[in-house]
Amino acid sequence: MRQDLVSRAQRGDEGAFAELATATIDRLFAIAFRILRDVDAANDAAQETLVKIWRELPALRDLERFEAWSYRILVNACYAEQRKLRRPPVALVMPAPIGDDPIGALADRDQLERGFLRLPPEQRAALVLQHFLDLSLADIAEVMGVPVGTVRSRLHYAREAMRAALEADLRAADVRPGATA
Amino acid sequence: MTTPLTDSDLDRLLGAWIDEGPTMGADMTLDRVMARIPTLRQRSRVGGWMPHGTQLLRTQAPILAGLVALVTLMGGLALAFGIITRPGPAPSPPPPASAGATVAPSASTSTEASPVPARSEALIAEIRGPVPLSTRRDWVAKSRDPSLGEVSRPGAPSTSVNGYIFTPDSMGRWFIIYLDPTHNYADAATTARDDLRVLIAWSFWNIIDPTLRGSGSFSSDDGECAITFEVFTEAEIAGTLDCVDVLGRYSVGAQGGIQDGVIERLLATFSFDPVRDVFEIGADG
Repeated sequence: MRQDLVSRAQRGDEGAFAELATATIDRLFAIAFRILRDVDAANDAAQETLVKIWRELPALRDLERFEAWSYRILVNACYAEQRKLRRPPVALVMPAPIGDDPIGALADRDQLERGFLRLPPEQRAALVLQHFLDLSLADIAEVMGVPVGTVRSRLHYAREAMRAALEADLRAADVRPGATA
Repeated sequence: MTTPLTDSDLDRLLGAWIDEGPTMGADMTLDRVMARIPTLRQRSRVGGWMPHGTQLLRTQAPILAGLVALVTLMGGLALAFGIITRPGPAPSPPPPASAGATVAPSASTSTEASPVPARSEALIAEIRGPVPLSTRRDWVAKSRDPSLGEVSRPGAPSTSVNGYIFTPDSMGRWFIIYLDPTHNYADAATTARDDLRVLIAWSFWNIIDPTLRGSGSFSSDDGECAITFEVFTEAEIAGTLDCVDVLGRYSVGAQGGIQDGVIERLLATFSFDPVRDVFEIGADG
């Protein structure tokens, strides 16, 4: 079904492309938001991605790779949007707490948000592709257009940075009572 | 004392946190996309689809200008240092330009290519014929030198090959077209083909015979990507470009880029597909 839409859109069928865009835009937005942590920028990235898909779809040879191909366009659109972001991104969501400890979870979330925003976009994208899309290293490499080793390295540094952000918070919590004594 | 996070704790926290957040974009985003798409493709004369020329021009002109400068520089350096050798005798001089030399417009794909002027045929034969396999292997070795940079090969997103294309000029000298590896030719490499074709076709127009005129078309081997082209005289081009360098004719747009509409005039090719026949020779030997 999806491949049929892709094929028709490739031949210039605007109706097929509209169906395809409708079916994919939320997914594209969700990924973009998770990389950019900004609703407006994520919408822009999703929009640019779809426009580019339409424009460049005729050059796609292997229709089965449409999804990875579109993710790759999206990731690059996110990089471009990130460069445009001058203000610190703000996540306009307050979802349910992580785990059973609401206060600790909020602190974790705050630290995760801060830590994540300090990561380079390439590392953010790698984390999102791994955790949100559950892609394998090889698939992430294809989407990002880099060797698997580079993906592994990006994920390693991203995880260590996130770990450091969380542990810094824990250390601060340890120090705080002594400081007030 | 703080207990370090285990890997599994970290993965759990990261996974849960990344999963949070909105999963639906604004409806207007889709409306905007659909409002934009009718203008983004334009049916070519050969029935294939191609990017709108003006848009392509606007987005790619600075890149083309940069690449052109690189071509000139690298070609000159390579010749100066003897890296590139002359592969064979120079082709015979061009016939005088005249209205009769005009190539008739073609409404077909490359399989029904426009008539090829004799001079170009000779040059094409030279390109294909006398280059020894060892030389081609040398190109491949050079092209895969990571210190020289690399770009994704069009049509093969996960395959990184080289940033170099080898083309002869009308004097039989070999030039390198360097694809800037810092420029992402396409977010997905498959989409690089149009850009590459524009670049190569344009370069071929310059180096083979600027007196040729006419129009025609070529398409990708799968028929999905087609470009129509017209060849104008150098004087006509010069009247449109901001700057045409006397020596190489590679310097364009020094005063502000290639103007709208010029790219179609620069697209030129002959009876072979530069991407398939030249790029892949360089890539695969």
